[in-house]
Amino acid sequence: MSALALVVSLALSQVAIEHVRVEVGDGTALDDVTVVLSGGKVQAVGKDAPAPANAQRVDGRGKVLTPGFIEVHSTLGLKEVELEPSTVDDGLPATRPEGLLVPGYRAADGFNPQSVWIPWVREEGLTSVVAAPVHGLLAGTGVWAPLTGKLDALSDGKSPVAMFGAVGAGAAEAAGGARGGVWLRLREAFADARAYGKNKAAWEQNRWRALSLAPLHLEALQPVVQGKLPLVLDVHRASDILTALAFAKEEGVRLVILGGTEAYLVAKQLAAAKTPVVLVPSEQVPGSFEQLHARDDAAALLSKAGVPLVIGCSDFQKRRLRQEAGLAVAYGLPRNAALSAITLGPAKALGLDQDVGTVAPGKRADVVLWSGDPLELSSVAERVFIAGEEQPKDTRQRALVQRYLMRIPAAKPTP
Amino acid sequence: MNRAPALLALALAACAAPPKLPDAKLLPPARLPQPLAPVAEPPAHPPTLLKNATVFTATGKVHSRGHVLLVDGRIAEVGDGDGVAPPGALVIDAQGGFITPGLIDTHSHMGVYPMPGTIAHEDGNEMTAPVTSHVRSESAFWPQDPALWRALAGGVTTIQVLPGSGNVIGGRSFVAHLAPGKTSARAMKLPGAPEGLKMACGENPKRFYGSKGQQPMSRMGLVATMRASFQKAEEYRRARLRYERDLAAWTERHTPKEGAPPPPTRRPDGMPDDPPEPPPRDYALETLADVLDGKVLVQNHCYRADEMNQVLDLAQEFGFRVRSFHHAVEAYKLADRLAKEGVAVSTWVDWWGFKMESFDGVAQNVALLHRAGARPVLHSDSAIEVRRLNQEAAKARTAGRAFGLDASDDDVLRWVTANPAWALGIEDQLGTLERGKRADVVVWSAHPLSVYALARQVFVDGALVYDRAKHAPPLSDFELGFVDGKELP
Repeated sequence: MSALALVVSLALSQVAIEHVRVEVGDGTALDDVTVVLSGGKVQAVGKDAPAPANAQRVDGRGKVLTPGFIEVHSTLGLKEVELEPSTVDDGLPATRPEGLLVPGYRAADGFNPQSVWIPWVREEGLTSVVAAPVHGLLAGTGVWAPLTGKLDALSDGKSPVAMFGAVGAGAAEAAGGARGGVWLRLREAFADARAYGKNKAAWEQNRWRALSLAPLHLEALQPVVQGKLPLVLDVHRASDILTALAFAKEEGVRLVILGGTEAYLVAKQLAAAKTPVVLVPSEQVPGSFEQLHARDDAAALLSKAGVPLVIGCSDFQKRRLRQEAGLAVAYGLPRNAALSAITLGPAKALGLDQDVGTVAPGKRADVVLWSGDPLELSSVAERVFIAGEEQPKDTRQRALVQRYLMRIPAAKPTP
Repeated sequence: MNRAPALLALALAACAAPPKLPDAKLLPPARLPQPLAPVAEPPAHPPTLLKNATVFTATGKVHSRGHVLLVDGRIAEVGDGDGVAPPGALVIDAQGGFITPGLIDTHSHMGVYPMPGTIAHEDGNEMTAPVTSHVRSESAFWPQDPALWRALAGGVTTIQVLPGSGNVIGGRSFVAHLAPGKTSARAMKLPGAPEGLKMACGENPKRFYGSKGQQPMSRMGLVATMRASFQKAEEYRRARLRYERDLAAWTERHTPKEGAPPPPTRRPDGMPDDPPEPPPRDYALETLADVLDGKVLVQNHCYRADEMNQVLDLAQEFGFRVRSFHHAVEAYKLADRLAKEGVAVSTWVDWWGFKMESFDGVAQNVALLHRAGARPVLHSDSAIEVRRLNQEAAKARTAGRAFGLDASDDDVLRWVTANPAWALGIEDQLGTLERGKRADVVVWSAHPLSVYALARQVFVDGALVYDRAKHAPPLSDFELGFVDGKELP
């Protein structure tokens, strides 16, 4: 992009949303304020925030502005049609030996910003996701991806943003049939990563013992064993979560619990360790033996106990994040905590909160203007901004509906 | 030919003096055992008056402050104001809450793919042959599935339990009424509800049988399988018609008439006049013949518009009706035909793209069908989604509004009440709040189309079977002993 084009684009992207209610993302709200977006950032938020002379002015009366929602564990951009393997890049299947421990696998390498799903998910107020590999004990690293749908989307993204893995029943099966096998392999990998980190030169000169993983994998584990890169583990059973907490403490790892159906049973320990839990409120059912103690009010219980809460949605329901948050409210989670759990909560859990998660000066202008309560089913995202740029509303679905709408004659009203 | 005169002489002799044969002991007509009828035992309950609520009747009429009176398992009265409680009635003040009919899910595998998912409990797909119309979902239904009672807590009182979609023709479904405490499918089977036939188009049967090198490996093979099955069924049906006609004539012949001599036990040829033999019993063809006779309702898993058109053509060819397509994410592409031919569409709002046949799914499917005057239904196909059918209906409406397609609250609720009742052939019993219908009623904590609404009380056949305010032990035996309140933080 030339310098001139850049200037024009920045000038165009100045927006002042006036007289709007802002639900900040940190649990607070501001009524009747002006929010100025400029240069891709939130420039000002306040009653007296001055709208730049050339800013596009948006009347925000009766509407709600929120941070763009963030999903921390998604296959968006990695999977187009689940049952068509040629369109699926969500990790190396753990059923193959090479897929069990692949920390060096990078979701970013296979991320497709032009996925047909992206505009459709954005329509529901999501502005970024962490696209993550999903198979294996250590599946690889995820990429934080803004949902612009443009080919250069990742130039603005972040990779790696976390290491992803699993330690429950599914992982146990992949690891040879028992939970102990999972931890055996993980301990071995982490020990080798540390050893490799300290003895790279010796390894290079072939003066070092054999290692359980190839160097690219051990390299990828370095920031994890150093406690810099979060380790997100898919785990449901309370006892497995305790094992994971012990492992994280032993290894000095920044742990995030994904799934966490029974996490509420060990909420005290999770709160003490400041370990976030990513929970899908609609899925709190005894769907497996690892989830027998499922409770609908799990999100509320975790939040009350002081566990950093993140709300997610199932891979199959990629755009239901706000419905999931609303559901958690129905089951007792305070509404402001629910909104935080899809904005600042996920940003903090994966160390993205310097940039996103709240509507505040200096933050990226990833914001959404809602027709009403953003968690309510009757509300719609009227305008979606990513880095200050208003996003188009076109989706493949809308094009299909446009094509067929006119072919359907309206039925005569029934008497 | 020198023996001819002798034979003729014998015949003449027989005519002249018929041998006196004793009366024959006739066989009874063949037994054709039928599954036992549902156990119709509505739970006992006091007359119950629900008052001080907005009552959505799903008939188009809304009582903004209304009441519903439940007596002997039926709706005795729906109207404006608070009504009058009969003596001894239980009176429930809904405190300005909302009342709807019990929700109905046309597509469930609860009980046949129960929670928790275990290998031992996978009972929903008899994938040993592409046509298994002889199997019945009720044979595998486990009433202790914990998911059933979570669905009830979501305001769902009736479900259709279907075999899976692994086969082209998967078997018979049944309609289960979610009254707790039963230990058999028969006790939960809704009396008077027709059974369904699960059929499946497209990828699932094709993928499974194709991978084994069997028909159907392609959609060609799939439609050919359907056609061949219904041709055989037509032949079976014809044999059955002939048998029924002959049996009726035999019965008529052997019914003693007053004042007349007892009917002869022998035919003119001297053989015993036994009743006709039915065609050899074939339970698979019997189900399909029942479809041709309109007694069993076709419930067809089918995603693509071209495939739905194929099935409708095939149905016309053989003279049967499709009661509801299921999933049907492309139904909007043939909305006018579906409206004209009276075919319900059971679908989702935002499930699409997980396989090629679902790639053209749109959130406006329901709104477009509603516009066309068809019968859209929000179904679940999921033990999780079934708990929030009301929310799915709300989302379907919001999606339509973006294109200027709207519907009233009561119409939107019909997508999860009256329309599914019709799709299951139980519209005379359930689906709306009308005098005389079964008293399946839900009291909601907030407007049922809000994300914040939960079912506060649920009534099945007039009995209060779920009350959110009361801490009760789990309704499923399976869950007893696992959940210990003392463990809670």
